[in-house]
Amino acid sequence: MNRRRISDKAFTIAAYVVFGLLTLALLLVLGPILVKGASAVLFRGTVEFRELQMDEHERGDAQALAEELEAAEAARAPVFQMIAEFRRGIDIDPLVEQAREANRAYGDLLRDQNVDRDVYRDRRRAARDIRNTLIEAYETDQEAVAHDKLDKVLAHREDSIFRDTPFELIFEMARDYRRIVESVDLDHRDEYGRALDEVLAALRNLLGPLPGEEMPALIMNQYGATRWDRAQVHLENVLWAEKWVPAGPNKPMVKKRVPREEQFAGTSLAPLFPLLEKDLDEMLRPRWTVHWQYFIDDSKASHFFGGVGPEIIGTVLLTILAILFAVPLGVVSAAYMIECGGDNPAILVIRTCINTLAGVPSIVFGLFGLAFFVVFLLPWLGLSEGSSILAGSLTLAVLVLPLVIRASEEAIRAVPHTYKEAALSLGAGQFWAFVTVTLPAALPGILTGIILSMSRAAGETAPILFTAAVALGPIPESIAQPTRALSYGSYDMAVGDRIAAMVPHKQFGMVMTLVVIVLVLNLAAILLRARISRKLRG
Amino acid sequence: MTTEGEADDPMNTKDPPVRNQELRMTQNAFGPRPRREDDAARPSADEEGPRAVIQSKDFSLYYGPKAGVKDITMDIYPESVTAIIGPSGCGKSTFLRSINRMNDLVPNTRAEGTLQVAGVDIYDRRVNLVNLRQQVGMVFQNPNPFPKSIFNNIAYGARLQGIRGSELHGLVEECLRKAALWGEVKDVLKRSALALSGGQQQRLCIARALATTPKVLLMDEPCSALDPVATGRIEDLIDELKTNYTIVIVTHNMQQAARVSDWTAFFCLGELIEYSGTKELFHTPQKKATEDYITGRFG
Repeated sequence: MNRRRISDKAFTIAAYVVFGLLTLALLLVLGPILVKGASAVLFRGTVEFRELQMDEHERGDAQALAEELEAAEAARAPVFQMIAEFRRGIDIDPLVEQAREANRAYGDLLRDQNVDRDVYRDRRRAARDIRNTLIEAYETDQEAVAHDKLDKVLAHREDSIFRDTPFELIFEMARDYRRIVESVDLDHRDEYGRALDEVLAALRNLLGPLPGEEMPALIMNQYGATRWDRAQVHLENVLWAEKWVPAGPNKPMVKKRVPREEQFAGTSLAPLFPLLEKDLDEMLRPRWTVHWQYFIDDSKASHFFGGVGPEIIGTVLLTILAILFAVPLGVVSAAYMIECGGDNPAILVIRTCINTLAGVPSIVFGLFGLAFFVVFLLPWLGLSEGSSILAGSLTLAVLVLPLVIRASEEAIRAVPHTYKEAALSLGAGQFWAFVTVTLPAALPGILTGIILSMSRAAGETAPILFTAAVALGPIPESIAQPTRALSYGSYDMAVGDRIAAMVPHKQFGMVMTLVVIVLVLNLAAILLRARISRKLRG
Repeated sequence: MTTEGEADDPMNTKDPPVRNQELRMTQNAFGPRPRREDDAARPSADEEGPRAVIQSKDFSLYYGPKAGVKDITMDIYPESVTAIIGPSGCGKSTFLRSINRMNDLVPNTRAEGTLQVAGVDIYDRRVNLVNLRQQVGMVFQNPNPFPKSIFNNIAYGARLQGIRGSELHGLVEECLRKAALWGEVKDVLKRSALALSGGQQQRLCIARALATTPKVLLMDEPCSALDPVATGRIEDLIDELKTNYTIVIVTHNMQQAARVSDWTAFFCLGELIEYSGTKELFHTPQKKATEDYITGRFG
């Protein structure tokens, strides 16, 4: 007695533990997918996002957007100004070119004035010397030498021959440079140059192309951070540098994060970083956005922008067609096996085959579909060449057929025998009794099987891998063309390219969409079943 | 249905059934008879006459090698209630289900001898099962209404015969009235039949069987799943229906057999032991086995 109680309790506890573990697993698997996937639809969109929507889809209020862009421009202006200023100190090529230009303009002026040949030669020589001294000042990396040269240049600034000529620019540049030399450590000029390039690259991700730059060809480079969460990541890249530093003798180098502010300490660029951190809000103007168009939009730049509309349509098409192929076959087979098959040994063999098929890995079905539908049957019938929605849905139909048959068989078998007896006793034939009494009574079970098969078909990747799916491409115009699909798209993004790492929300969004479709189908199965059962029960 | 050609109906002629022609059983074979008030005019049990609706001669039914019933010879008379009693497994249900060939559903059954309904050997290969079953209705042990509305339950058999529209509505009402269910369900015809109580469901099943306008009603322990009140109502119903229908009822309950039936057959181990008027059988059983059974010493 006591032992029985203990074993009863043990079973109860085991059941609860399993139930708890399953719930936990479900939450652990689905929770993050749903939460992160939701961020593809609900997020804090920046002014860049609104600009993109306006440019690509003409969504939003143009007037308000223009005002917002203007405000953002104003907030960004100090940043760009600071960069231009700093760049002048470290990037001497434009300065050298500018000096040469000033000298050439001076020569042109002298020629225009038709001065005497000797005077012309003297003045040009003097000008050239000064220019060369300035260039030497630019090119040296020793502060003392630079100061010395600059002093030499500036000693001529009162010379009458240069008064009111384009050559005066040279002296102005020298004055500018003296100020820069005082703030910039010339020894580290190259280092600064490289660091600035890094900052600019990160800044482009954050704010889009810098003013004066050519518009990039790729749409993904044409806009800054469209989302506030990604903006934070890009901001991090602006604010922090990664450096490899030796950890010690005979030890591998380690990566270390260094604040850029420290890197640029003492230069005119140093205030940029606190400014960015403080005013990024103003520069990007984030706002909570419900981007429901994610579910209807085509994707742009391999899912960098845009939505999953074609993927949803493809998945729905593939699933519905697969079910349309599989259900009539499956229900009729199940009905035959129960109503007419009896104890026929052939039926036993068929049933064993079906059960085995239900356990075959889906990639095997995919390869079968490739060999049979794509390569042989459909081209032979002249229906399609290569992979197509038709081939994919036929493959999926073969995949779910065992499920449909088994579910239908169970459902038909579960109908009380007395229904059929009653129908026969009223004079109905076997077929009519099945169609009018047994089948309707089995309908809830069959429908559940069908909808569970639908969710299986919607989620499968391997069967459509070779038969129907493409990662990117035009939206199909007929079922003889390949299509995109959520399952394959998720797979492709995961294994595909670097873009996925840059837009994790798109990846999660696609998986979330698939999971939601499957969950909705399952929920529909439950509700439909309950509804029909209630109706039958009265 | 009654307008169906009488001349070419083999059932209607006095000649023996024409074997090389498709046998069809129609209403006319059991054509409606005027109600008779005097039970005295009924034939007695040992009077074999053409008026027997069901005639069984040396009828045996085998499940594989095993006999379900053996050498049953009995006549069942119209517009009466015939009860079949006997211990479990004695073959009474088997015999009952042979009368409308419901045993065909069991694989490997085989019939020997003859079993005639209205003069037609129903085990003839050419018998139309659909017509047979419409003529010989059946009520099962457990109420088994279809998971459909009350109306559609009753209408099921009639629709098979092509009855539609207002005629169908009239028939449904008529059957429900006959089954004494109309008053209870007339407002809820659209509701599922499964929402009714057990007794109501069984009366619904009787009404459903009546809707094919049969002449014979087979009842396989129709009250065994019901409480005494529902049983009483069904018994009253049987009593009313016997004026128009030939009823064969299998029952375990000897009081019930004594209450409702005019004739009683006692089966044991697949054989017909004794068959006579109910009063005779219960008061003066001829066979020892019968006496033992009805007095409760056996079975």
